[in-house]
Amino acid sequence: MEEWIEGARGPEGSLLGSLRTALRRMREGLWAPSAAECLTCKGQIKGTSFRLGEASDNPLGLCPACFASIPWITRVVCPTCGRAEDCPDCRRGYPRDFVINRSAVRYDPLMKEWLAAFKYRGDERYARVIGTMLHQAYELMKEALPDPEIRFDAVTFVPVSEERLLERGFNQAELASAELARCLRLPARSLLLRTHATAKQSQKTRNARFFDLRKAFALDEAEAQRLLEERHSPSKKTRNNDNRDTCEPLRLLLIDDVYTTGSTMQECSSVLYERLGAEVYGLTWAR
Amino acid sequence: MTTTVYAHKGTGGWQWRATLRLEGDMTYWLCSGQEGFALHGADRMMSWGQAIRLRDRLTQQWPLDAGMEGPEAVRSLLTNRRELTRIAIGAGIPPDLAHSLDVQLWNGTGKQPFREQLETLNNPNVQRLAAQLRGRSLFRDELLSLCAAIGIAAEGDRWLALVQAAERQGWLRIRSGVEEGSTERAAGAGIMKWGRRHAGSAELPMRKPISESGEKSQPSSRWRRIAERLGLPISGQAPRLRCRRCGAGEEELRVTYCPRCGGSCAYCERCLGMGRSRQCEPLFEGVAAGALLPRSAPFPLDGAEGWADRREISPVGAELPMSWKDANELARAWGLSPAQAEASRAALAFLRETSAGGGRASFRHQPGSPPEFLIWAVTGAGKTEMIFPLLQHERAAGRRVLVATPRRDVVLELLPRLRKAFPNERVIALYGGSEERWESAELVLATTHQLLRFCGAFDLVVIDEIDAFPYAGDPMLYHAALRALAPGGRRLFLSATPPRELERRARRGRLPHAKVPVRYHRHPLPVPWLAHTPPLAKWVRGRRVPRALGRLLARSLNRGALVFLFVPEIRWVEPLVELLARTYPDRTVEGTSSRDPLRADKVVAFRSRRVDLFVTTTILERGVTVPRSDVFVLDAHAAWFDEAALVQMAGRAGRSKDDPAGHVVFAAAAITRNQTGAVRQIRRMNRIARKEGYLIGSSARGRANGQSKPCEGEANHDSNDNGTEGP
Repeated sequence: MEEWIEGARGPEGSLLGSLRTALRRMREGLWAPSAAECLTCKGQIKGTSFRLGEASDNPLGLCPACFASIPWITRVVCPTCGRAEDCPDCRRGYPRDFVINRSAVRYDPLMKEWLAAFKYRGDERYARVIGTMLHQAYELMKEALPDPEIRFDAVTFVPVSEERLLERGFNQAELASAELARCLRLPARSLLLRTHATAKQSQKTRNARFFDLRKAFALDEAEAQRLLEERHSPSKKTRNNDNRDTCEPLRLLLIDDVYTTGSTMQECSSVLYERLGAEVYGLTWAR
Repeated sequence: MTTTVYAHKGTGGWQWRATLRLEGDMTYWLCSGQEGFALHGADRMMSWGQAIRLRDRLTQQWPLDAGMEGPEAVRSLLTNRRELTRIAIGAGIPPDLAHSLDVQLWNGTGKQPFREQLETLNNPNVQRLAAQLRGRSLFRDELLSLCAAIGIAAEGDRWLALVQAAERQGWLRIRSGVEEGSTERAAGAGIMKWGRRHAGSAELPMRKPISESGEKSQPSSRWRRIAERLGLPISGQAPRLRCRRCGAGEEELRVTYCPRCGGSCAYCERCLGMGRSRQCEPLFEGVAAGALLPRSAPFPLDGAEGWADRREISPVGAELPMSWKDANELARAWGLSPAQAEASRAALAFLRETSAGGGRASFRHQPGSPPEFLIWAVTGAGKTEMIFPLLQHERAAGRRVLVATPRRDVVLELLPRLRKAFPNERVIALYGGSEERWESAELVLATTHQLLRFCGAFDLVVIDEIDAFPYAGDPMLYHAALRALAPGGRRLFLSATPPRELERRARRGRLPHAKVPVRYHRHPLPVPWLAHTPPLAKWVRGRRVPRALGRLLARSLNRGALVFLFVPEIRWVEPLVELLARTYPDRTVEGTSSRDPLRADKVVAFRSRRVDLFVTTTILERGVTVPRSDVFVLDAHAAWFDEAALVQMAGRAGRSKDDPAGHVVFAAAAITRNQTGAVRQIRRMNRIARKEGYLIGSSARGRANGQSKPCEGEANHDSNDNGTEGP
């Protein structure tokens, strides 16, 4: 669009030239079927008409083949961590400071590929896909909770160390949680800090994961204070039109990308529980 | 890492510079007795992208008078802090940092040179690193693995000290991954015409009005001033961003929040697969080979003798004995057929004329683009053999050459052949995951994507199969191929089916080219036979193959040929394999597609003649040579099969000397322009070959020609097909 407008008024662009450009643009823009590119397979999404605002049949903007190959978790077996198969970790009875965790997909090779493209290659377009997919985890959680009307106070996420943040340029959990928070109309708050950098979780053994993470997280006091103040502020009360939230505990949704042993989730929620007395509900993208 | 902007007063007056490591630069200038000052933020630093933008703006908008002393210059900044803050914000620096910017004179502070800094000044590793980086364009991670590969300790900030020292010597440039449109006209030919013009004019208001376009913009300049003061984006005037590595414009860049910049920062989505190119990510570019190296210092080089020296010693134009100009001589020396030798000779003449000293302008080429030459050789002509004499010519003159092919398997296949042809030469192969990634050689074989890691490196870039998958229609790789060229470098394209744009340029005499209309065995190309069959969808899940097709298949099988069956879509492969296996129970039938994990094994089986019928998609349209094979293109009317694809698929047949007359059948429900075009193209090549006398006698092609259906539109072939426009 821009090009032909400029072409039309450019001093060198002849009338004929600009007319030709305009015609070409029109042909490409109107008569050719819109060729949206699938984020994950880079193939063209076929059959997209130019109905406005409708990228494709699914909300993720992927091609039907990619969408169909997402290994959604639809049937939860482990009531604690949301795994789709039997879970020895939870039966082993490690302490859990979060109420439950639910995940959207199984962590199969395709999902590994997607997460690698997001985290390591730095394709931030995946934030939308992964954040939207968290909705599935949220639905699973609502099913599992006794009170379907449950309200959460805020969305928060597992932090990364400053060093890794600068290296990678973003925190994948933060971007995904922002996406989810937007969908759920909840505030997204950065309540946690990483006090010391640990080696990447993905490169460690099970036991190392548990022990390395001890005291790796701390509460961001200023953010927490702000959240509590907002919660007790009169404006919020009048909007909700009831007094429940003063006596009810603080409920937080904690977002992470992958739940493997649950140690990250446990460490983060223990900080939130001990310092804020919060009920923590874990939502992870993959399990 | 102290990224900031400073100014120092050298012999040529004041100069604004950006650095990744102020300590090193400060020490250097202190030692050479130059005064200067640096900008400091209160509690944090600016990012690299912000630093170079600030440097560029200050250079333009804050010229420091050469007569000014250091303290005076600092005062001029401090008395005008508001202006400084405004420029800093304009450079994308977050307001809090911009407001806290302070100016510090470095010889007034009584700072002593850091000892470790002094050490790096004389560190031999600086030169070693610079030598390895020549012609390369790398990001931090790539640079670090290069350091590791050549054994330079780079832990912590040490690599930065080395890099920054090399930059001060002018041995490398530190750019950023995504840059504002600059006056430097990078590649991209006409595509970015408008964008570049605007990027240029954005700088105009700050300079003296030098052109009439400066005056034209007068009426709006007041609004622009207001908008600038308010920090608003100025429509149509804001400098366009561009990926320095792959040349992507703003439509393919994505601006996100970046913790390093403390604000917005763009990254490139187009070349993400090669590592993220970002606005605040330093991009280290080794200067063009041999261009800026100080003559006095003997520069350590990878080989025994110096590249720069060698280049000067060999007088251009006298690289080869004169008799090499003779095509016959070439043919004998390299075992080429007459047609191959003629094309090689023409290309050699081109190379000689366009080399640095040559320069008789008898080759016309596009203004503003490097000299280019096209070898248009039919499938199976033996393109690789033809380029050997060219590579030898370039290497004898001491020039660096890169041969880019579309796919990794082609690289691996070509590598032993090149090593055999050039036993005294170091040949390396670059592809994703290559072991030789960080080695340097003067003769490089690479996949096209690897071109992105070079800039100004090669005097000749040969691009094989210019119309093939990753290259065709990918402006990124076009850009990369231009960027990898050294100043004065040349490009050589090889193709059997050149893209339309090149074909047109060749026809109009704007692209010097050589046609090789005949295969190396000097038999004509098999002309496709158009057969009428119902569309695949109607019969592939049925019980039997259409009768017309069955007869043709039986004929091929009975003569003992292997049969390639091309289908337009992957979903037809499996049902067709089933149907054929049922129809021909005593034959082996296999099928493959890009989704097939066993593809490589199946191709090997087909090559070794263990499979009689092989069903595939266009993934095997080129590069596969199976002796004594026939080609069937099913659903040849499918839009997916364009003219080039049809010619390439037809080119799978009759490639060997023993069976030069394979059969090609286009089985289609309708005759399309693509099919007739492909037939016409093949026939035209045969006709040229016959006219030029390249064919052996008159072979038994009459039979096939007589049987095939007549194709109209033969008359309008171009008449100036006689090879090249060489001297």
